[in-house]
Amino acid sequence: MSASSDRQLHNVLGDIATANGLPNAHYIDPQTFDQEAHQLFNRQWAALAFEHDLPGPGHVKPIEFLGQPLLLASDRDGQIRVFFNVCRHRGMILVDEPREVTGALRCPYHSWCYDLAGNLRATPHVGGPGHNVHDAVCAEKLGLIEVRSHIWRNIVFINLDGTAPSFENANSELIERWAEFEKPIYFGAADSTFELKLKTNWKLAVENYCESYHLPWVHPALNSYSRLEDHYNIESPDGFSGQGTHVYRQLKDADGTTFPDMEGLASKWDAAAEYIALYPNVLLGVHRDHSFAIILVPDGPAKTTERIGLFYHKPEAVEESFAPLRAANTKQWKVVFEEDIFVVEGMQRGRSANGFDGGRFSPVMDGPTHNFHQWVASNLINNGQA
Amino acid sequence: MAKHSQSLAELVEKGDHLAIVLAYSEAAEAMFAENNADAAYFFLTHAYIHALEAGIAEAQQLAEKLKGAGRL
Repeated sequence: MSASSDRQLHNVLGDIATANGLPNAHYIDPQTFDQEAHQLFNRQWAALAFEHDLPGPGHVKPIEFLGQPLLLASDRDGQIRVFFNVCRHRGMILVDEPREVTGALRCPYHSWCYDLAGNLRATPHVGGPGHNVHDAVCAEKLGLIEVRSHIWRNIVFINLDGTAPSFENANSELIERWAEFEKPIYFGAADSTFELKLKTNWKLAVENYCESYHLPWVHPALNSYSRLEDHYNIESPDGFSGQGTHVYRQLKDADGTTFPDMEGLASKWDAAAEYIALYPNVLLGVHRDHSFAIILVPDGPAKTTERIGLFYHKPEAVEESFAPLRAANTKQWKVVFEEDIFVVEGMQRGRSANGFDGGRFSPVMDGPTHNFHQWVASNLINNGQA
Repeated sequence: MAKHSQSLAELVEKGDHLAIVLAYSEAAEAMFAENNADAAYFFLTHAYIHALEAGIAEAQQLAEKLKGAGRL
């Protein structure tokens, strides 16, 4: 990293009144993208998938994540694990498409077999034709390489390099903040998920999501009931930021029916909602009657996929009787998230402007965004990349 | 084995694991009958691997047979 970009990165860490945003390279440069993949994703807890990506026990799904071939697998008891999707023999990709595994995972090359807990179960002909054992090939030491994983709010998080503190410790402040929501949530099935393909860097999706400054301009429908002053900033050095509102309105059908509430919530949640970006790559929303999560998949410096899942707080809300209201809720959020596309893509195009210096923050309105930039810069600097 | 090979290829193409297991098991028995142990365990290995992959109950029995011969 050059002295100039080093200086720019340190400048991000300053007071919000004088700091600039991250330099352009962090949005458009492939080498910087790779550095961030290592420093901001591999060393942290990153969101990989939803639990519902696997239809049930005995299913597997290959996932390419920042160039790493991974395998999401649910064993017979429904325990979800993440492995590197490679055979321990010749490094062959084990699974090419999502499927059910009725017995064992068989490598398509020389047919070494693994169970869904990753144990190596068979090494055919490894000692010669018809000889399936050899002293030099110790099955106990050659199971699939597991990636550290943790499930929270139906999201599968991974720590690729295995060095992060436990998920609970790394995210204790957010878990405590939303302790009232630490109850089972229920995915609304096919009517409650969609994807958006964006021509933008993953960080711009985070930056836009976590601040309320843009709401009256980009989401003008909000102005009829939700004023800018009804929102508050959420900023934590513990790896998250976002915004909350005091005027959440529940969706109702023609009969006035609403989704059932989560039990035990304090009265403040009657009209409150919070929208938090948990760094690096998951955007969360909680309300009295439903939650959602957006997993940001960084496909390249200027390519990001948003994978959205909506969750409900009582089992009856995911039954057929609520299907029309769920569809309306999904449609409502899809409109909101699509309204954001032109700004995250516009900021991406703007990052090719050589004269742009990272931008000047509003000291009052941009705290959550600056908080994220500080997290990015400090992790890159502390890990020796600047 | 030419005919066997052709039909096995078809079975593999169709993903008919039970039929594959039975075909390899039969081939193994034929080799045992000819006192050709190496060829027999070769086929038995294939029967076992396909049974293991598909989760077919015969996998257990085939594994025991291979283990008994020190080949698993």
